[in-house]
Amino acid sequence: MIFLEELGSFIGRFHPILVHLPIGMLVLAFMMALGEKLNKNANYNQAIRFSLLLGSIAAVFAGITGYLLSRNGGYETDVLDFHQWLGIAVAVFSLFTYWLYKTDGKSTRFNKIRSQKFVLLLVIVLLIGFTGHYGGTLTHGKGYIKDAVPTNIKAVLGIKAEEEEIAVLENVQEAQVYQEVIHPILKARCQSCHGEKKKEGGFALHSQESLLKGGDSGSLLSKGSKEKSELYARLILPEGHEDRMPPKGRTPITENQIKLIAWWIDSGLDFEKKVKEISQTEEIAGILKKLESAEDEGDVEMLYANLPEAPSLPENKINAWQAKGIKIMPISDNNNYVVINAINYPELSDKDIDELMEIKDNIVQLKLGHTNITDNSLVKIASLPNLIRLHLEYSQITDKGLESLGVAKQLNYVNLVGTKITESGLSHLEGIKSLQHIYAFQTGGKFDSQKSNSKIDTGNYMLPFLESDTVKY
Amino acid sequence: MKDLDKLVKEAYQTQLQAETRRHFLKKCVAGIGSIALGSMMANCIGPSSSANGEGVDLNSLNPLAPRSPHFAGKAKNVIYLHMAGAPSQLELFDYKPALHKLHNQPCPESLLAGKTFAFIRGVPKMLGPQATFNQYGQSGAWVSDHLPHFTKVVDEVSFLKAVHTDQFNHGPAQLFMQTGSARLGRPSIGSWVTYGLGSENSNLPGFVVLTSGGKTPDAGKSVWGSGFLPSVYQGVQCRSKGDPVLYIADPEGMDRDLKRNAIDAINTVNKEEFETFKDPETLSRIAQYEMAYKMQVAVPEVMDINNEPEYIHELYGTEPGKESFANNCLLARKLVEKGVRYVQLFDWGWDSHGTNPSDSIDLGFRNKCREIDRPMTALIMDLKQRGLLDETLVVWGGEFGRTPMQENRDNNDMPFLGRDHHTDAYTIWMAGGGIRNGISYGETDEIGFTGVSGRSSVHDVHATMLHLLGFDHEKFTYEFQGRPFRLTDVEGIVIKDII
Repeated sequence: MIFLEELGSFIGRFHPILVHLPIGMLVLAFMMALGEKLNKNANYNQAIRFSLLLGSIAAVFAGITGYLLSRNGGYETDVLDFHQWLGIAVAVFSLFTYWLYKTDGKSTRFNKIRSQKFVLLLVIVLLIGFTGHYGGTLTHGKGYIKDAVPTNIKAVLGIKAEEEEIAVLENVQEAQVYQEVIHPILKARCQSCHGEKKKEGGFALHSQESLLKGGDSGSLLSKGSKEKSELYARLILPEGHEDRMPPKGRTPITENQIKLIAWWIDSGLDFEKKVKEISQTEEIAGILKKLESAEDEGDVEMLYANLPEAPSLPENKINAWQAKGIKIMPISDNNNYVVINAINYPELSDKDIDELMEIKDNIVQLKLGHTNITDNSLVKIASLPNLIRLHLEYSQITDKGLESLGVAKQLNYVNLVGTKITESGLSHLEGIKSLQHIYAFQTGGKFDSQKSNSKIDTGNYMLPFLESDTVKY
Repeated sequence: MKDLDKLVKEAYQTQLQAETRRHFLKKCVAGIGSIALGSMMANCIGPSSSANGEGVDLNSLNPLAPRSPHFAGKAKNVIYLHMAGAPSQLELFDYKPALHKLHNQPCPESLLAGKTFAFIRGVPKMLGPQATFNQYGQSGAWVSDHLPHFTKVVDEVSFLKAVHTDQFNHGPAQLFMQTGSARLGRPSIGSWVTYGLGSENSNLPGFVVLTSGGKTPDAGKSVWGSGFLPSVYQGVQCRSKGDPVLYIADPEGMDRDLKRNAIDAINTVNKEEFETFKDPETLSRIAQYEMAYKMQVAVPEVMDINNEPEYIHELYGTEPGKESFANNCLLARKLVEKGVRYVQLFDWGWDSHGTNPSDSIDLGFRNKCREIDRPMTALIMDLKQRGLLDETLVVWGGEFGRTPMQENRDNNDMPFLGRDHHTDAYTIWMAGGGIRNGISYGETDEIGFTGVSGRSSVHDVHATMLHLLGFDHEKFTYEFQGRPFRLTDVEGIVIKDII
């Protein structure tokens, strides 16, 4: 059964390719019919019939694959419904029109419509247009075309630029609680479906009145009680629950934003007061304070997010290196950035580094601890454009090598544990802006913890002996 | 070589014996069908590649070769410190002053309604915290006076204060904590991780288990078993006393070359076996023979702590040659340094019921705390100074918590202070490997009975661990008995607040 399901979803993915066949063929049929209208001598009847036949068959297949694709989920249901029924309409209309063409002169049924075949073709083309539009909305999201309209033209047409993210507040305590704190959250996370244009479930929250009015099921906010407020209940449903808001696939609302909304409801749904006029717990005050900085809380720092796409890897070379014992691992599936680990190849020498330069754009991590590399290699290593993490622990490198490493661009982490480097060598690394972590435990030099840069960890941690250590109960 | 041929021949004959009438009939039908198909489609197929008679390439089939995760994970290694028997959160991290005031008062009936405990019967008395608490570090984490050294590293650690489980007996609860299911047969976390990421060092196992405290966990070796995953992913138990792995030294009269020849011969036979039956267990066998051979050199080296400098021994409080939690912590650091993916420690002796001095909250429990305080603190410090902590996830915890009530086994007074098994709330801490510094997530009620906010299930803990290693726990599956299985079954939400 899993096989069938997987097969279905595989076939479904051909939908975006297949849909273009009926579009081309049916539009061609319409064009030929139009040509016949304009040029009385032309007779494309056979060709129109043929295009219609192929087009309608293609439309049926597009429909089937579309259905299979939709079973994968992840699409907005109302747009999907439109798209689906319009698509089915295209297939039905085109089959019917083909039948009309085929039975021309043989059957007398539908004679009234028969004379209006051109109109039918026009309808098909219009249907295709709408189906395509909704299909595009499904894949690219709402406002895909609208957003790309040049700004000048937007101004002329009166399309307002939408503010996506929540603005940073200068002094949160002076801000108006609804206008500047709560409304921006609702606007950013809810308004695309519950707004002026689109009121899912009859609920819109773009204005104060509509927010209080609620949706089809009545009021969603209960003054002073988040427990009785449906709006809050929907936010805290478990992930994956059908009724959870925002729905799957949309930007999720954060824990802190939910807490702010709860605080606002519990404090009496105020639309006028300033933040400081409403009582706050320590936790809420902390969350509010965060609105003053642009940093997105809870955002996992992605070290590799800023790197450009890596070139592909030469497979036979990789295999040769792997056979030697040099581990070359992509950082993740379908990624050409690699971690190079010489843990099983302590013989690794400067010559191997020369060879590895062939994939220098791909290397983000080099783990060369306990190997034979020397200062000579560091000149090359420094030129690796995307190197983020470098392990050199217990290798032969010295201060001279660090001098050449000073030009590295992306380096974030250097491990120099157990090498002969000294403080003066480390000073060469000060120019690397991205460098945040230097490990210099068990190294040659003496480090003045006052003077040395705070990002250098020289270790030597000790735990004092405590009298309680030896007490036996 | 002659001997080798003999062996191969013998293997072939054994295989023939395994063939039954059904095999024969099946082959006839399939054979005739394929002859027909072959002649019909003769021109459709390119030159046959399978029939060139070449053997299996061991490297391409190595089940322990390193692999990439779904996305770039922050953690590359894991050290899991499991306190078998379940330490009391109320004497270590979950400070409940209100419980002090209720000390020796009978527990309200409403708390007991609908609850089952392992040993508590009737109405027990409340038991106030048997420790003094203070806040430490910039994060202001609450730690009791039982762990004076640990207070130095609280800012490296994030606490989960309201973890809950659904098993109140050690065996099932340990299985649940380590395999995601209270029943036997599922792979342990370490097996999943080595299955997903392989092993970085091809001379050492990817998943090593070290035990201390005199006994192995109640749930037996299944807590580091591979379940339905190929058995090559199961944990390799190493001993910190005596030979690290039993029978790893060559027997007398057998030199290493002879051993190599023997393994080569066995592997050739096994490869033939694999080509015929395609059983992944055969591959495991080949990998294990190879691994064992390499381990003969590599394991005694990495498991020897005698060569560590004196100040490291002082830091950890290690004594070479003993079986101790301290030695195991130092070994864990050494193993991770050498690229071992997952190191699982079990320390037995945390079951503080109060039946005798060694398992009482006021006596034995404090001794256990002494045994782990310095080593686990040293482990974090040592990983940090070597630049390993940012890629090594350290997890500490038991299989459940302890009750805020004093145990009254079978409704009798106990000779010593003790607490019963408790499933509703306990504390786990994690450090390194992408865990944020100094967070305390989740809160229990004023007596520490149950979580009131930020409750995390065992599945949530697993989901978070897999996330840090680069896996989407919902997509990390293994097909077994007709359906894909996950470590987190059908649950688990990544605890974003601590990462």
